[in-house]
Amino acid sequence: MADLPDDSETRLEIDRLQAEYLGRLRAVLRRAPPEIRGDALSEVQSHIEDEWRALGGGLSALRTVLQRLGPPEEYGRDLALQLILLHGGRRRLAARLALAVVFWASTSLIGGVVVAGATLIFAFALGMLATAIARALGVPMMLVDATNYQVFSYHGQGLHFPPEAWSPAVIALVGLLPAVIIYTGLYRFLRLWIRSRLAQRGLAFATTGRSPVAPPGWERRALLAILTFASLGLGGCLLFSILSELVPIGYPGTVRLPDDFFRTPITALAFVSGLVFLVSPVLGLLWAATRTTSKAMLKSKTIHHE
Amino acid sequence: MSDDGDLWIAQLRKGMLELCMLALLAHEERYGYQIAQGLTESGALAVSEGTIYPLLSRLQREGLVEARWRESPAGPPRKYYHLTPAGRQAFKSQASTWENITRAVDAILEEARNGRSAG
Repeated sequence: MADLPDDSETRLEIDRLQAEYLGRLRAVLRRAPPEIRGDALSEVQSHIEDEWRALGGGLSALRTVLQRLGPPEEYGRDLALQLILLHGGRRRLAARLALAVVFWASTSLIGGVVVAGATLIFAFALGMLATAIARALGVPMMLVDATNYQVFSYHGQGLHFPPEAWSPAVIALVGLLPAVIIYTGLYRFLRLWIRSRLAQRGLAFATTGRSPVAPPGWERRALLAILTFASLGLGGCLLFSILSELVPIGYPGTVRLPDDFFRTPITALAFVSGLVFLVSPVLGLLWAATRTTSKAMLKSKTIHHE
Repeated sequence: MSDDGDLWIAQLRKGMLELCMLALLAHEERYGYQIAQGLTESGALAVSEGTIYPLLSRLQREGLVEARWRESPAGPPRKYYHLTPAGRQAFKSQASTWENITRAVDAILEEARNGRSAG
C-alpha cells in the first residue's frame, strides 16, 4: 500500500493483514478461471486501498475496512460461482452447468461425495442399459455361470451382468456429463422450488448474496439430511448389489429381458437404494423443508393460542 | 427486535439491493468502493460490503451492467461499472414496481393509523 505510516512495525502489520485477507480470498476463488480470479482480486484490493485512504490510513483503518468487507469466505464462494458462470457465458448451457457442478463438488465434501457417487450410479445404469440394448439388437448372449452371472456373447466377447466393479469407472467417462447436468439441474430446481414454497408459507428469510438464505440452521439441517440419505442410499446400493451377486439366478440359459433385469428382489432393492442415493439432495431438502415448516407452523399455532 | 423481525428486515433490504445498485449506476459509472459507500450511506446495505461483488458479477452475467478498468490519478486502477441498455430497462421496470408497491403499502399503513386513532 502507498502512503504507509512511518512506523515500520505498523507498516509490516498492515502488509501482513492485507496479504492474509487477499490470500484467504484467493483460496476461496481458486476454482475460478485464473484470469478472472486475478481481476476479482485486484478489484477487492483496490476497494481496500480506496477505503483505507478514505479512513485516513493506519492499522486501525485497515482493520475497519476488512471488517466492513466481511470475511472472504462469506462472499467468496458466491463470487467464485458467479465468475465461473460469467466466464462460461459464451459456452453452451451444458458446459456452464458442468463447470458449476464441478465447482460445487470440489468446494464441499458433501458435494464431492454425492456427485461422484451419483456419477457411478448413472454409469452403472448406463452399463445396464448398454447391455440391454446390445441384447435387444440381437447380440446373442448366454449365461454361462449362473452363480456369478457371467454372460458371454457367442462371439467370445466377455461381458459381465451386471458390470463388474471396475467397469462403471470406464463407463463413467461416457456418462459423466449427462450425469452431472441432470443431477445439478435437479438439485438447483428443487432448492429454489422449496425455498419458494417456504416463502409462500410465510416463513421469514434472511438474505445474503444473490439467493435467499433459509432461516438459521436450515442449511445445516438440510446438509445433514442429504448426507444421511446419501450414505444410506449408497451403503444400501453396495450391500444389496453384493448380496444379489450371491443369489443364484432362477433360470440359467439365455438371458431374457425384462425378466432378468430385476432378477431378484434384492437386486431391485439395490436399484431402489441407488435411486435414494441419486435423489438424496431432493429427499434431504424436502425433509429439512418439512421440518422447518412444521416447526414454524407449530410456533405460529402456539402464539395464536397464547 | 425478535429474530423473525431481523430476518424480515434483512429480507427487505436484500430485495432492495439490486434496485439500489441499478439506481446508483443509472446516471454515472462507479467503482466497487463507491457503490458500497452509496449503499451503506442509504442504509440499503445491511450485510458486509464484500457481498456487493457477487451481485455485481451476476448483474454483469445477466447483461445488465458492463465493467471496464480505468487508471486513477490518485490511488489504484479501478473497475468502473455502468448500465447497459438492458440494465436501464430493468431499472425502469423495477423502479416502477417499487413505486407501486410503496404507494399501496403507504395507503394501507395510513388506513391502519387512522383506524387506530379513531378507535
